[in-house]
Amino acid sequence: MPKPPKKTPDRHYDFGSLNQIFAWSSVALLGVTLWMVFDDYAKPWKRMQAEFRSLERQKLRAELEEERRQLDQEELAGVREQIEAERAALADRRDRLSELQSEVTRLDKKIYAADARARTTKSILDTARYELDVAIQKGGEEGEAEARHRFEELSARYFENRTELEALQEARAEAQREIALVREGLVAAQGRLDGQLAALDSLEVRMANLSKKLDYFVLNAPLMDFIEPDLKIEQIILPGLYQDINFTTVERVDRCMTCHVAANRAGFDGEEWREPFRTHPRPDLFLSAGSPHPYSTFGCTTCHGGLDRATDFARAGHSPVDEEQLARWKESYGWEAQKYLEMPIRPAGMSEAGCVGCHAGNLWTPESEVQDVGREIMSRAGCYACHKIDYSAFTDLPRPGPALRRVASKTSPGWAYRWIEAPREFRPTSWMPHFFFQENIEGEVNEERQRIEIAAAVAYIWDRSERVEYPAPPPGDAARGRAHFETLGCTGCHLIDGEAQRDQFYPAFNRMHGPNLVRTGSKVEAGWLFAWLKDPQKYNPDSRMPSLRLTDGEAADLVAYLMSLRDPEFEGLDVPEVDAELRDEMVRHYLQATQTIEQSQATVAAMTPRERDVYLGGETIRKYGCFGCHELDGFDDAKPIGVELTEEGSKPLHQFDFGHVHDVPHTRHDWIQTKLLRPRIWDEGKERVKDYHELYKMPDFGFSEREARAVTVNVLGFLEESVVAELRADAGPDAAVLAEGRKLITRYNCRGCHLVEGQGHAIQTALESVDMLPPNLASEGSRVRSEWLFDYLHDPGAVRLRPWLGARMPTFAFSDEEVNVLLDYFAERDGREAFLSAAERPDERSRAVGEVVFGMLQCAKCHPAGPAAAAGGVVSAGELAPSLLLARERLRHDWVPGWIKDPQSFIPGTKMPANFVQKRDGTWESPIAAAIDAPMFSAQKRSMLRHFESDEGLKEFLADPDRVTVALRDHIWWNLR
Amino acid sequence: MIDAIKEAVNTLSYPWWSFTASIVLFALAVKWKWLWTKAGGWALHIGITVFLVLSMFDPNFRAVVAKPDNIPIVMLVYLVTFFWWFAMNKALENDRRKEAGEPTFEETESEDKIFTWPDLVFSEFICMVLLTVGLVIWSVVLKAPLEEPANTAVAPNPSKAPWYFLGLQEMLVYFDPWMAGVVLPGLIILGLMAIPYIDTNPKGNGYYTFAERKSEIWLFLFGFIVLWVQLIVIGTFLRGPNWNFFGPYEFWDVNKIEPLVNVDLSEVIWIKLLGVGLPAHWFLREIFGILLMGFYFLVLPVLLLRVKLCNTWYQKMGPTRYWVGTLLILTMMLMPIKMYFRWIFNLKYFIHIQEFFLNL
Amino acid sequence: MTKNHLFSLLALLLVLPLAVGCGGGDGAPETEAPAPAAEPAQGGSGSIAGAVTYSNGDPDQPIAMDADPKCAEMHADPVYTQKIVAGDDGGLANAFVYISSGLEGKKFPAPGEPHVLDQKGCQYTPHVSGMMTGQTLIIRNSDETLHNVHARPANNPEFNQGQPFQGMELERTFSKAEVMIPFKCDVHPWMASYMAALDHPFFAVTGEDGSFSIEGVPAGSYTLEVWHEELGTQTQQVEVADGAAVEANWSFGGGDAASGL
Repeated sequence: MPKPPKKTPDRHYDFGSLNQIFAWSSVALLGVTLWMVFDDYAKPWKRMQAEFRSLERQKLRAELEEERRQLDQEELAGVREQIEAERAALADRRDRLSELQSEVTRLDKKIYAADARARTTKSILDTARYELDVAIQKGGEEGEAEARHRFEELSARYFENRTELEALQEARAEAQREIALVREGLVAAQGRLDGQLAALDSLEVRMANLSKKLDYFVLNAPLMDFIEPDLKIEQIILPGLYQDINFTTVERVDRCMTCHVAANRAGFDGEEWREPFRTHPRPDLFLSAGSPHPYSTFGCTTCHGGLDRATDFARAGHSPVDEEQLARWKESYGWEAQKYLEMPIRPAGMSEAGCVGCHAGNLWTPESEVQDVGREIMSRAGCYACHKIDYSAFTDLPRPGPALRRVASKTSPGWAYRWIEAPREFRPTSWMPHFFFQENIEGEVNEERQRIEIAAAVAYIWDRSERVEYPAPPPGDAARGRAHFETLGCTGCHLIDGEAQRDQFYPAFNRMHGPNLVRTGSKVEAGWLFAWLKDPQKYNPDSRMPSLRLTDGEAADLVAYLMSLRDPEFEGLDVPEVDAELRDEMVRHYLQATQTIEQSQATVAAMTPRERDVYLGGETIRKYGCFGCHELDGFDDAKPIGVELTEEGSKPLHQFDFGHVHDVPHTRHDWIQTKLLRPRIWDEGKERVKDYHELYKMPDFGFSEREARAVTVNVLGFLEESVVAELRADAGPDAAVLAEGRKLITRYNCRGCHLVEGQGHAIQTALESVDMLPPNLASEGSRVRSEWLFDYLHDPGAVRLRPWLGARMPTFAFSDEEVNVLLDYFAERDGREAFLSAAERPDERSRAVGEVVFGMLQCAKCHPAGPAAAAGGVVSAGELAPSLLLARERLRHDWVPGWIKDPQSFIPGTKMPANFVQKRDGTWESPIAAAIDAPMFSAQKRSMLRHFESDEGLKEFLADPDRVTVALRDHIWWNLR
Repeated sequence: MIDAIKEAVNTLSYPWWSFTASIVLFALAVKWKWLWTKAGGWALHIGITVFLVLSMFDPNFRAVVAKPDNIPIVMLVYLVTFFWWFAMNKALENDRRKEAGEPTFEETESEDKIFTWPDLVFSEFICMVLLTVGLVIWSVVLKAPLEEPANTAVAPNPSKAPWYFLGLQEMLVYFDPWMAGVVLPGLIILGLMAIPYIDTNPKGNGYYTFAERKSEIWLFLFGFIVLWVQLIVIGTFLRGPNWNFFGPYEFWDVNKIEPLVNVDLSEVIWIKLLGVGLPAHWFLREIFGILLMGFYFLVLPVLLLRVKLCNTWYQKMGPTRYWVGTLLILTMMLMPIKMYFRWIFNLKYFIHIQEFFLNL
Repeated sequence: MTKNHLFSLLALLLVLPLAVGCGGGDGAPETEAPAPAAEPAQGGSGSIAGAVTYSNGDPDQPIAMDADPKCAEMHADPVYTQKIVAGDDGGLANAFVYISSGLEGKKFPAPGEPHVLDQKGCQYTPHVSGMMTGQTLIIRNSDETLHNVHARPANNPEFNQGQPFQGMELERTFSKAEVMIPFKCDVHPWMASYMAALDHPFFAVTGEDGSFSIEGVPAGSYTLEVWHEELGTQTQQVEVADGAAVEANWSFGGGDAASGL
């Protein structure tokens, strides 16, 4: 409480000082008010836009200069001269011109007057008509007569007015025609000039719009910028794409383009353009109106994540990729972690997670490679076996690992122990992960526990496994076996390489579809191997291994070869002795889930050691979820052990347990990727605190950085549903048909040998010549008849389509359903009906011409076309191309002509040559028309002429590739038998 | 060294220490005349400021105190102290004058009248302007603390009530929700409403005084400063994730676990002491609690009559007022009593009758 | 207080409304003007010459052409694959020598006259050759039998054109530089030709004696590479001065045979 100041009479305060205080506080108020206004005004994005404007100005300036340089000065000058000349020419006709113009003005006046007259008359006339009508209704002779008289009089006058007016207008038009005639030349020249300058002008207009004139300053001034500012928030509302705000889903409203100004504008992708001012990469795929993801429909945050409405760098949720970027962002944009933002922008390199939501169901999205490969890895590594992933790509898939119901007849417990201990030591490329002796296992006791678990698991498996005795195989020759292995097509799915690493096959893992057969000799029984090769499904009905229809000889040779691949380190192994006391304690631990400590002790005491092992084995298998990948007796209805991943990408960050690890950035993607690379890392520092049975048990797949990132991208993409079906790429029946087909093709690894949708031919790396590559299945659907394909897929051995190929099309144990799925897939993919009606017989002429041309083009040089196929030699025709005798059975009638015309467009790289030349303008020309006059073809010409009235007719026919190819087809179809 | 101090402060700030300390300090403070002189006032505020400023160097402390949401409570600390000091200062000064037979401030001031316009309006207007300035600056510098969109599935941890309710929330630690959330707050309001009817002491109307209203002021300040403001401060700054208690310099560790094995009075007596099982019927089971509370609320007031102070009250107020008053006071005192029982005996409830939600 | 506040405060102090709106705009980095198109560089006066030799001269294999009687009857005496043509002195023919690096950024005009690949006697002539990007390639069928020209470039578009009639000609150009582009005829599997498309004229094919020479090389230091369809590639560094003649020799030992394409 301040001392009472000295008072002016009857005033409590000293008003001098009070006024001062008031003055200052008012100034302060004014100050802070202004500050408030500016703080509200000075949004970072405004600086962004302003900066972009000036950058764009510079760009335009450059373009303008360029354009000016481009302009052909001579021509320009020429045009200008012309204009001058025209002007001059006009000069001496000036008086005539002015005369005409004054004429026009004079007429204009008259026309105006006349028009007015006409319209008045018209209106009076209308009244007159009405009155006449009334009069008639009233009846009464003279009233009506009078009205009629007036009406007729008026209509007559109206007629005059009209004629007068039209006459005047005609005259005026005449005069103007003449004027035009006089000025014609000038106008034309002017037009040319404008045409030349058009580009320049448009640039100048754009330049003008960007220039900072007074109006710019006014319109963008604080408090003024509500009118029509140049700097404004660019936002787009995205119907059908939702943001999940817990209580409700709201439509996204993207404002990213407020700063990323040029994202949807061409021409800002040069070196000098840096974010946020760059054009979005691949405009053919993204943002641009013509692309499959137009900005107006999908916006930005749908794929990239981030806070759609944010206009502030930090709040938008930009995620840095590394420390360096983080530092830069903090410095220049005031970046700070957004702990409340649940869906931050995915960091560079992980954007493809945005594809998953709508494309996971498609399978095969090569345009987003990382995501595509990630999905492939996940299905091969079998993530879905332990983690439920409710995407069609990961549902109803077979168990990724082999069935173990009969494993005892295949290999030995000792080997199995060693294998489970560390699969990749035996097979470096194996997808089977390492479960044991991971980083979170510390101390003798826990390590012994691990040994006990492995031994127990083996005990269980062998205890339940069925034993089949196989006879020893007939003797074979390893060298020949090796040759078979390399030529018959085994290499499409199998490697034999002790050094190989999965990552070196990235992004296509087809050659690791089957096991890497290195060291096979140290693993399996020869007898089993022989039986297996002959008929895989006999050992395991669900096996994906096809039969190559091996003869006993071939099989024996292969066995000899494979059994010769040995490694002493893995032979004569035995399951080690383990600490029985500790084993029993573990058994008790499991028993105590349902029993009291006392009971459990009794139970254990009552068991034989073997029983204890087997019991513990069962529990261990349940604990690690082995049954997820391997078919095992006693686990048919066991539930997968992992957490569901269907919405992992939307899981709130605070639900991820980073344990005591502090050097891993606390973000979703870092957690997932780290988890994949070091599955047990979150136990760090807790190894000796946690109970053994509570330690993390996610196994180590030996992922490389690349593989881990690819998987991470997918898991990140598993989000809560936020896109309506119409916008999803994998919705709808057609998509389903394709997806089903692709699923099968992946399951049976068709791409190991074939090229499907531009990918595959993995076997190529194992073949010495591209000519030995199995066929490219592009356009298979439009090429072959589904009826034929159905039979072929069931029994490829029936016909040897391409005898020159070493590799055999294997016989898969396809069910009819599976085959039909494939047929539908091919048909759907190539936009065809699966089955179609037979072709009707063509006219004589077509067949005759076809026959002749067939000869001229020497088709039979490669295609066996009859019983008398080109005879033997090094290469018989039969070894160059499929027999045309099959065509009718096999091919689609309407496909053949197009194929003959331009094979490359159907199957790039095919050995089938194009027989017609495509000219630069895209039209086709047929060499036959030109060649037909050559003396050597006189006979052919004569034979064909019979079917034509005139020589021209024939020429015309032969010159038209479409008709010629149809003729060839008809010949092949109807003449060849 | 520093860490040692911090460590000490942390330990001392745990409720059972800090609460006891605060009671003692409170008592001392009210008795300690010097504190209410100008010098004392400065010392008080500077002391608080120094503490805050120094503590700001500690990241954990900063993390909590500098949160935009908590700024009002920091202000509250200053305001409460200031006005408390201001009132006491005036009161003591007046008491001195009264003894010396001089007129009080109010009397001296009430001599000279001044005009509403310009004196009052003008000065008020200036205050308004300055206040606005303050608010604008605050609003610009500290943006509204927005958090993630509310999610029924995910509750923020700790989830705190608005600052002015944190005292009540703190009570939940010791009382059954029904008590802490409904009964006690209700009683507080009723009590405050009842004060004019209970408090018959005519002294102190229109002027500050302490000497003439000792007991009233003691009671009120205890209830307000110790039981209300302090709990708000604790609830704001010292309650972390899972409503665990954290010292001012302690890191808010989500995984911190505190043992929670509280027992009811009934269990203590029947099982621990008498060594027999709990009786089936609730009345029998809770008999001791009921007796205890009965004694506390019904007998104690009577016994208190032997205390001179209370007896004088009784004389002044007459039976009804006396009963109501003591009832309210005892209810208020139940709070600290319960707290101590909790800390010392892990007592859960005196009376625990879930049969009809009567838990005390 | 974040940068934003400081910024606005500043703006407030000097009350220039647009200092805010377009702050930073002036400080924006100048966009570089596009680099001027490289002028057609002139060849120098240097030259590189030398020879390629092959130590273990295993003989060239004869071709059996009887798969296509037409081909067979065109040849009285046996025809060879031309894969490894080594003279008695070890000179290795059909090796392609070119400057693989050191000319970056320089542009050289493509020659007007076309490069011709002839199919005669069911063989390609030349067997190994080089041309420049943009230069016209004429593929001629001089045989009275069906050939198909199947080029399998890596960077340029693949094509496979049938030439059923004698004297047919086909025009093509390659826009991207590539070594080597294999040509084959699927009808006559033994037919093979290898053609390099380069964006400079400094290449040569070794003759019967294994010698080659490259003229008019501008002064500079280059990586010189030799390519052979069976024996793989070797490189060496050369320094070319104006008017000087540099010698560059290679020899393929038996060991190199492994490193074939």
